[in-house]
Formats: sequence, C-alpha cells, structure tokens
Amino acid sequence: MASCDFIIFGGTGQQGKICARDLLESGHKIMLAGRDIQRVRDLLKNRRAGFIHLDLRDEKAILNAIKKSGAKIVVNCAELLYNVPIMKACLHSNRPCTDLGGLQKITKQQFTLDNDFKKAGILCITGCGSTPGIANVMAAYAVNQFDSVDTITLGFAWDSNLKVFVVPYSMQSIFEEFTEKPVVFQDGKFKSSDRMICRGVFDFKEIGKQIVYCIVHSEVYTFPRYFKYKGLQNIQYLAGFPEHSMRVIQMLMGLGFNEKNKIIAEGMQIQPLDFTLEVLKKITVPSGYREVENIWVQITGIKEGKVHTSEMNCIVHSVKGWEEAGSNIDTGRTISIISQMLFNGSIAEKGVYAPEGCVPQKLFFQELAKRKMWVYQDGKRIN
Amino acid sequence: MKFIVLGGYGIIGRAVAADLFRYAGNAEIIVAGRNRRKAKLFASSFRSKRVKGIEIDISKKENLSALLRKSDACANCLQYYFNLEIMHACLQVKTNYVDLGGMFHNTKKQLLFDRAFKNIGKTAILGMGSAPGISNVLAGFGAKFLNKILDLEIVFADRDDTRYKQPFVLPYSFKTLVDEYIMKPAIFHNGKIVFTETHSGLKKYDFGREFGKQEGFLTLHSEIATLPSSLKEKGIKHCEFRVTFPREFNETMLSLIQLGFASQEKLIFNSYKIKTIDITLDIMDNFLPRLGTRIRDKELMRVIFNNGKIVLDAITESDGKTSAGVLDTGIPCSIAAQMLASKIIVKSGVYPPENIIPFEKFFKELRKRKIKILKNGRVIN
Repeated sequence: MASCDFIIFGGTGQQGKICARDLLESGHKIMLAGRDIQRVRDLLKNRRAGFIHLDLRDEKAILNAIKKSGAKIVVNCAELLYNVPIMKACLHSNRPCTDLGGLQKITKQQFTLDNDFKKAGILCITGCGSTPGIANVMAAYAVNQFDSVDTITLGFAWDSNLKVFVVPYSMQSIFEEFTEKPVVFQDGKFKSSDRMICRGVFDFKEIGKQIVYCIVHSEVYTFPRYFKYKGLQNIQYLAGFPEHSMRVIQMLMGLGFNEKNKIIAEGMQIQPLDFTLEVLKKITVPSGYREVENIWVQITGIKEGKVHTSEMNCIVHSVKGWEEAGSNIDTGRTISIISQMLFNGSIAEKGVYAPEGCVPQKLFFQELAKRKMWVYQDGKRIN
Repeated sequence: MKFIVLGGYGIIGRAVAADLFRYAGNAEIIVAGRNRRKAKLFASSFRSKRVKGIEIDISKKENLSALLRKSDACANCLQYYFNLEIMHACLQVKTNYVDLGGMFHNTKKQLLFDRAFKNIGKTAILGMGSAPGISNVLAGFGAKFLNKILDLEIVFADRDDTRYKQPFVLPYSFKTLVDEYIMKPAIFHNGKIVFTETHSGLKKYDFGREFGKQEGFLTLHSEIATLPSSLKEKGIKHCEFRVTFPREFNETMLSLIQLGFASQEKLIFNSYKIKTIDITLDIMDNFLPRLGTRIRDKELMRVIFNNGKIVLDAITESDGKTSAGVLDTGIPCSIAAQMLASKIIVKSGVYPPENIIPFEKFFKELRKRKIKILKNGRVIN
C-alpha cells in the first residue's frame, strides 16, 4: 500500500476501530497498528486499510511504524499510558498527532512537550474524543459569549435501553478515574478532592435523573490554560453512570480486579487489571441494545453585565449501522473529525493544544451533525 | 486406627482432621495434599505425633496407593473431579472410602463401583458433608414417618453476623460456588430426572426468626442422583434442591459469571495459555474468611416432606474459629469415616448416606458437636 493519510495506534481497540471506520468512510487511506489482527479483519477488507503488528511497549517500534506507514497524521487511540512515547515518536518523525486525552497526570506531562512541538512546527491535540473533546469545544463556544466566567461544571451521563453491562469506554480509564483522587479547580487553584464524593443527583436531558460522581479528568487541567483570561475560578468534573453499569464497576474494584500488583496465578505473574481487561474485551453488545449519552458543560459568569448561566449539551444516540459502538461513536468518530481537520489544514496552530484552544467550533459542530451528534445551547439545537 | 484425609489442609479437610483428632480416640491421622509445607504446617498445629502432614501428588498412582495402604478409611476432601481416581486407588489397596459429593454426574458414575467394593468387602459412602450428607440422612430418616412421599424439597440457608474485615466473603471455594451457579440443575419431576435452566426455580422461603426470609434457586446437587431411587418404595414423585444466598452475594456471583470471569476459555499471557476461571479462582479465593476472624454464623439445612407435613432441620453454629458451613460439612465426613473404621458400618458396597448411615447414632454424634436436629421445630437429638 502506498503512503497512507493516517496511522492509528490502538487501532485494534474499541475507539481505534470506530475511528478507522470513520476515516475509511471519509475516503482516507489508513494504517492500523495494534497487537491482534483478528480484531480488525472486517476493516482490512477495505483496500485502503493496512495493518502493522505492534506492541506499544516497544518505543522504537512506534517510530518505525510511523515511518513505514508514511502517514501524514498520527492518531493515537491507545491507552493514555502511551501518549508521551507516541508524542516523542511524532517529534522524531515530524508528524502532527491527536489523542484521546491523558486524564490529569499524563496531560500535564504532555504539555511539557509544548515548546518541542512549537520548535518542530507541528501540532499535537490532546483529548479529541467526546470528553475531553466535544466538551472542550462546546465550552470554548460558550465561554466566548461571556464577558467573564466564574465557574464551569461539566461531565457526562449515559444510559442504555437494556440494563446489561457493556464496556462503556476504556475500562482502564474508568478504573483510573474512580481510583485516582480527583483534582478540582477551586478559587483559581488546583485542589485535590476526596475520591468518589457523590455530588448528588442531576436531571439530564434525554437521560433523566442520575447520580454523578466527582472524578479526575483532563478538562479541569486544560480549561484554566485557555479561559483564565475570562477570570475562571472554579471547575469540577462529574461522571454519571447508570446504576446497572456503576454496580459492576464498583463490584470489580471492590474485589480487586483493577489491581496493578501482580498475583501468582497458575504459576504465572499476572496483573489482575490486565486479566480483567482481557476478559471484558470479550463482552459482546446484545442485539437490540441502544445507548444515549449526554455530554454537558454548564458555564456561569457575567454576560452583558448580568450573572448568567448557559448550558451546552451534545446528545448522542446509538446510530443505525453503528449499533455495536453504542454512544462510543462520540469518541472514536470525534477523533476522526479532528484528525481530518489537521489533515485538511483547518487547524493552523503549532505546539501542544487541547481542543478548546485550537479546534474551529462551528466547522466542528457541522461535522458532528453529519454523524448525528446534536449540539444544544440552552435547550436549542445549534448544529 | 488410621485415617487418611486427602486435601487435608484445605478448608474442609482441616475440619475433618480436627474432628478426627478430637473424637477418634488414639487414631493416627495423615493430612495429605499437594503442598508439603502446608501439610506439615497444619499437622504441626495439633502438637501431637498422631497427626502427620504428607505431600501427595495424586496423579502418581503408586504414591497414592502407598499412602492409602493399611489405612482404615480415606476421607476424600479434594474437589469432586478427583473422586473416581481416589475410589480406584481405595479399591486397589482395599480401603474404606468417604467423600463430600460428586455434583450429581460424578455421583452417578461413582455408584457403578458398587460391585467392585462389595468384592473387596469394603464400603464407600458418597456425599457425606452437609449437603449432600446431612440432607440425605434427614431425607432417609424422615421417610420412615410417611407411607407415601409426594414431594421432597431440600434447601439450605445461612445467617452470618460476623464482622468481617474484608470487602467480600466466600462461604466456600469459589470453584464449587461457580459450579452451583453454572451447571444445569437436575430435578426429579413427575418421576423423571429433568434438567432445568441455570439459576432457575426462584422460590421465597420464610425460615422464621433465626434465619429470616430468603430466596433460593435450583442447583445441581447429588441428592437428586440418589434420593429418588433410595425412596422409590415410598412412591416419591418430586425432589428438588435449592440454595439460598444473601442478595448482594448473589448479584456479585451472577455478575462475575455474566461478565465471563467463570469461562473455561483460555487467555494468553506471556505466550502461555491459561483458563479464565483458573485466574479468577486465584483472585477470588482471597475472599475466603481470613484466619483469625472471629466467625459468628449459623447454617440451616432443611428437608421438607409433602409440602411441609414433616420438616426436618439441622442447625449448626460456628465455634468462633470455623464457619458453620465448614463445620457441618467436615463433621459428618469425619463421623462416617469413624463409623467405617470402628466397624459400626460393615455393609460393603457403594452407598449414598441415606442407605448406610445409622440415623439415630449419627444424630447423637452430631449433638456431641452441638449440631441440632429438629423435627417440625422440636429438637430430637
């Protein structure tokens, strides 16, 4: 296969496959990089798709794969642990890149490479999924309308018609979100908060009432970078899971299935977390299963001299033909949109950015609408 | 007298060995298992020359035979998958045999050894714990009071007031629990054995003040493999076995199974293939009650005849160190082994408990260990 447009790391994973399909349907040539070719047999039926076998723990192999693929853009759909090594390989090969976010610790490390990316004249956009991703661009859109902003509260909520457990998104991220102490931005400073504080019940558009939990997320770290000039003082991130899903997540964590300390099983040293991820990968989406997700951002500040609150929502339903992906299309397809913007030259910035700092909002919302992801401001659809 | 306890330092094996040590006079007790250190460590805890810990790899047949030779009874406390192999070995060296049950299918196969045990003049008792075990004896005993048995229902329940310092507690081996949840239950229905769906036949029970209201589900148990034929003369038409577990425990077990953690499918780690269930076992068996926990639980084994005409209960309380569920499984096995060794039971062949255990003597032995037997709410032992 001749040089391709995109190389997708984590290409055999849940989001990588969704992104790959979206890129192929947009007419691009892609290279999937991952460990298990069996998982992408369907995608590889397309002549514009290729495969490179790769273990991301081998950093040299990342650089070689980028070079071998000849890809113009690197799309990182792998676990956040690999964000920095992939960014370094992009610097070495002079390729722009996108990823799905690094919660707080990794995001912070990623921004230390800002100068290197600026010097190289390339762009890395971190957090290009649903949240971080859509949430960040919606926040930027609304923040522009305020004279000053005091508080941003944001998060997601979702539910499904069948109350069965389906992996909602990267289980590794979910476990980290619920074990790492969340950092909130309070009175202009980052503060460590108590883990899993239940912040009450919210009533969400298209979802209904749901319990939300304060968790660690990258937006809390990146928003001050771009919105501090508006006087932003407080940010917190709240996750909403339906009860049937939350119960399973808490049960697995309670039993130590997310532990990273190795155990001896059948004479082998195994990390319970690795084992759990392998088992859960085999869960299939039952027929007739539908999801709905609400990505929401609430902004309070001063607008035209008065205290004002504005709410942005992106509502995503399971889409016909994409049923297996459920509402995960808002992550995998969104990184595809932003990566294509990079490819088309719609984003000109250089350095390390979060989407709120560089993604053209209206164009982005239009692309979401093409994929049936509807954006609302204060209850009114805007895309 | 000499007893061999296979799986002797396992959860149930420990209880069997402890009971033998206390009640079997000057008998010699060999606790045998895969791990030499664990066997020796447990044996040394008795501080007596009567108890020895020995390493045994049961796949090495000669070693197994050598171990069993010249013993008066072998108490097999291993997982039921090994029952046939151990019975073979007992036949070879002419030793009496007792085990904790064969999960229906194995029990059926084990009963086929009857002729062979008769030929060597020895006895094998299948399923001699709480259930199967006490449940079978209660069923056999209760049948004496009825001319006709229309239906027989067995159910067990637990009440646990222990203050555990662990987030989750398994009452017994995760492997056995999984089998109870995933193997299709057999019921005796209208005079025929029928297999139903897993986790089916939900039924609510009110066990009164002590054990409260609980919901049970049908599970595969070896009582159904033997009681219909043992009670054939009484015209038995229906026989079912249910377990009850607390709601949260039940939800956790069902979730783990639904998520695929009990699957036999092999996963690859560092190029080695390992069965999913085997890794899950290594994680989950950490949730057996930790040593040193002061246990406060009690267990109820209930056998209901003809829709409640006769209700027989066995109630066991923890002694503080060992849970009721372990005691009422280990103790009957030890009592049966002693009855075999001391020739209280002499009839040769392979038997389920209801056809070989002398009821009253057995109930007396249980009473010595504070296990109460009640008939329609009144203690009878």
